[in-house]
Amino acid sequence: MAEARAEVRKEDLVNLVQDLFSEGRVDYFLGYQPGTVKFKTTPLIIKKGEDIQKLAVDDYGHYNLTFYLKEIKGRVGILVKGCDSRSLLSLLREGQIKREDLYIVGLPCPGQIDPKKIAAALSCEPEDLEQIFRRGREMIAKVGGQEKTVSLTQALLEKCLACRYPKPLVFDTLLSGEYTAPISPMKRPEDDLRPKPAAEKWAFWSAQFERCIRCYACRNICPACFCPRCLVEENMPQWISPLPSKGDNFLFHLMRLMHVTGTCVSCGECERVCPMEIPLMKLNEKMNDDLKELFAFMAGVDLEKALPFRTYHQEDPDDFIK
Amino acid sequence: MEIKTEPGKREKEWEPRIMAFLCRWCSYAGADLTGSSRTSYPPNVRILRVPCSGRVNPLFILKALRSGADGVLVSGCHPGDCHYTAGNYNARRKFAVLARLLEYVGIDPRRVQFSWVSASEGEKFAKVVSGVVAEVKALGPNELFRLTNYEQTVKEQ
Amino acid sequence: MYLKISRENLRKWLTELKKGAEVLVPEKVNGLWTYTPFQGQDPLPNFLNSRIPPKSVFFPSMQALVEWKSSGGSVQLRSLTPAAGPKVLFGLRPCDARGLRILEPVFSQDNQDIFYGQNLSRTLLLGVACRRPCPGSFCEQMGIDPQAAKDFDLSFREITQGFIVKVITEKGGKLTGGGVFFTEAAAKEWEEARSEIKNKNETLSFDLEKVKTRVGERFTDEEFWMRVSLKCLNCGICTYLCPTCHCFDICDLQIPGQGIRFRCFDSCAFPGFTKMAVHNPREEKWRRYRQRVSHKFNFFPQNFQNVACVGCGRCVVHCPVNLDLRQVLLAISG
Repeated sequence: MAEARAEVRKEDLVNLVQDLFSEGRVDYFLGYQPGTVKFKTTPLIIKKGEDIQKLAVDDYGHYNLTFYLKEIKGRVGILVKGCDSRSLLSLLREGQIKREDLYIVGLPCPGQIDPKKIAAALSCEPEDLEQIFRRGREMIAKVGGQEKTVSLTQALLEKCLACRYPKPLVFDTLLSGEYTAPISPMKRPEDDLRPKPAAEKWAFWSAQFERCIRCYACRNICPACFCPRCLVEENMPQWISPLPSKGDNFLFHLMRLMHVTGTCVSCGECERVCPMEIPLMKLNEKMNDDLKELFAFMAGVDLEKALPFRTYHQEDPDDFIK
Repeated sequence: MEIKTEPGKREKEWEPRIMAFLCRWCSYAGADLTGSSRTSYPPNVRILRVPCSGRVNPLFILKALRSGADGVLVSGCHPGDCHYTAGNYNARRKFAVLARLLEYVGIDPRRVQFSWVSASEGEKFAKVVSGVVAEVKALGPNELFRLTNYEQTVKEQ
Repeated sequence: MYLKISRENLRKWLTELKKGAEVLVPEKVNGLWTYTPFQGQDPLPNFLNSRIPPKSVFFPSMQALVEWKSSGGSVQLRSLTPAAGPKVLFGLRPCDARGLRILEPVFSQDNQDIFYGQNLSRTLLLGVACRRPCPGSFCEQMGIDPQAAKDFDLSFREITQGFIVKVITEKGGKLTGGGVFFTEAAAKEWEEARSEIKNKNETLSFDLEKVKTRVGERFTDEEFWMRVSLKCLNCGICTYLCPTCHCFDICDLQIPGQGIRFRCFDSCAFPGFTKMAVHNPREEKWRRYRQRVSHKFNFFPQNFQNVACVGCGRCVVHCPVNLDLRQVLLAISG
């Protein structure tokens, strides 16, 4: 049995946060604590003097906590995984946060578990899963009292399978642990929608956007969506009707995508929080692939490189223009 | 809602409605030249003058489609000739991304087209518009992205 | 009166009902449990509860109200009445049915809302008792029995061979249509079909009565509300998935000469919910969260006698940041 990955020691984290507060280095610390329902972790926002022992890191800590930086200003300590650090870089690049206000703590991540995927692999409902845990480098799920093994490919979030940045790109300190991709870099599976004809694509997205209830969870949890006043809140004139009709839902999602172009780092939070399970990451991935192809740009990895819509080249792709 | 006259009659008489965003310094002037040269071009185009092609927010294009346009044309100065130096360069990047996104979502790219037309290119403008109108006419009415289909909404109650 | 029916006969009976009514059953659509028109499949496979509560059948997220057309200087207005014809909703859970009843006075007290009221009166509610707890649920703490029958027209309890049915209303009784698919059962069989559910999450148990008294007292405790709502995302998931939430917005869709007035969902969690020309009384997040909890547990009971929460657990499970209402209620009562 392969050796287990070195785990993050809670004491390391707790002591660190203790020191940060006692030195007056931060006013808030953003971390995680166990959730109140199975397989869920919840963000923990602590201030000085509050119970630091509540901090915990486990396999379900999916949250990209950087979205809180839109709201919580001042000196903030934040726990980031490799992928989250790209959001930080993105926000720094866009001038939304100041580096000196942050104390960035790197978190080694063994890949985040997706209970829905495991349930699908075991042909059961997510509610039927009794336990999920790692044994060495294997993933075990308990269903109906029986232990079943699932592969990491079956158990982890899709984005974790194509992990390119397991180590934070920006940090003040790294918690001790293993900073490697959960499985040797596997390319994200091809999006089988891209080669399909227009009518099929339309039918697919129509069905998806008919279900959107316009809860705006995708927008609110997105670190890249930092407009103080969102387009949908404009009512003089009203560009996008609040009605969750298919057409207006299309308008909302397409415009949101255009607005986060260059800032979105494909963290996957939008898709994770959607209550109607719309595959929003398909859109983000397409857009980010286009940016790479058209302008050799990747968000959240470089503090120097110009943002795609703030610059241009004489030789920019032109063939689609008459 | 769909604008219907009598059943059946609509199909025979249907002509596409194209929304055109033309930049004030080049394309709009070019369109003026087309007119003053007495070169005819299809009347399906509704022109909206903007200071620069860079002024065109992707939102305008989407909203035009949503409001009933069957096609959209955005036209500006040739790269290097922008009155505001780089407006059309920025526009070029935005539209490159938007065009691919629309295609990915299933909106036929022939509905939303882009062109560089200078103030002296009266002939070109006529050709571009004719081309857009012909292509959109072949695609048919924009049923997909229009305002909520009224009859369907009422039926679903 | 008590009846018995096999799974196969249940399927046949629903197929028969389809001839005279719209029959809705829970089915997985795009991976989510939804109430959809019955297609002849085995009703009620491994089903806990729907993602979107069945209140959407009567109070949908998009409802056309009035339509107008103008021509030659005159305007024709047409009121869009709900589609006629009876409906049968099968597979309803006691919490959601309670939610429907809780909403009734909202849509009938001062003005008769024809969409909600007429739809509900035309629909037969066929409930199925719960045998497993939903994640995050706290129905029993809200005084709802997961085996309850009172809000239904017919109540079903699953047994190995099928279901034992209790006839609650006359309408329900008529629907069973005398002996073709159903056979008589004894009250004892009904009692024996009852499942006890171990529902309580002991660490999150709260006393509802204490909550109702203390939530009003807590109103001025700003520190408390700031603390409990700190991680809230301001999205609308808890409100839109809630069986008892009912805030809505009115908006028009129009093109020259034609238009439709719609009602659509709105959420008190949105920052712009109370925004007016000069002022937003609930600008800060904690005010909105205080309002949400106080409305459900204090103001609504004052006006309508019922607490506007049935403990279904949807808000607990689907909140993107796991802001757990149970923890808040516990903190209020403690």
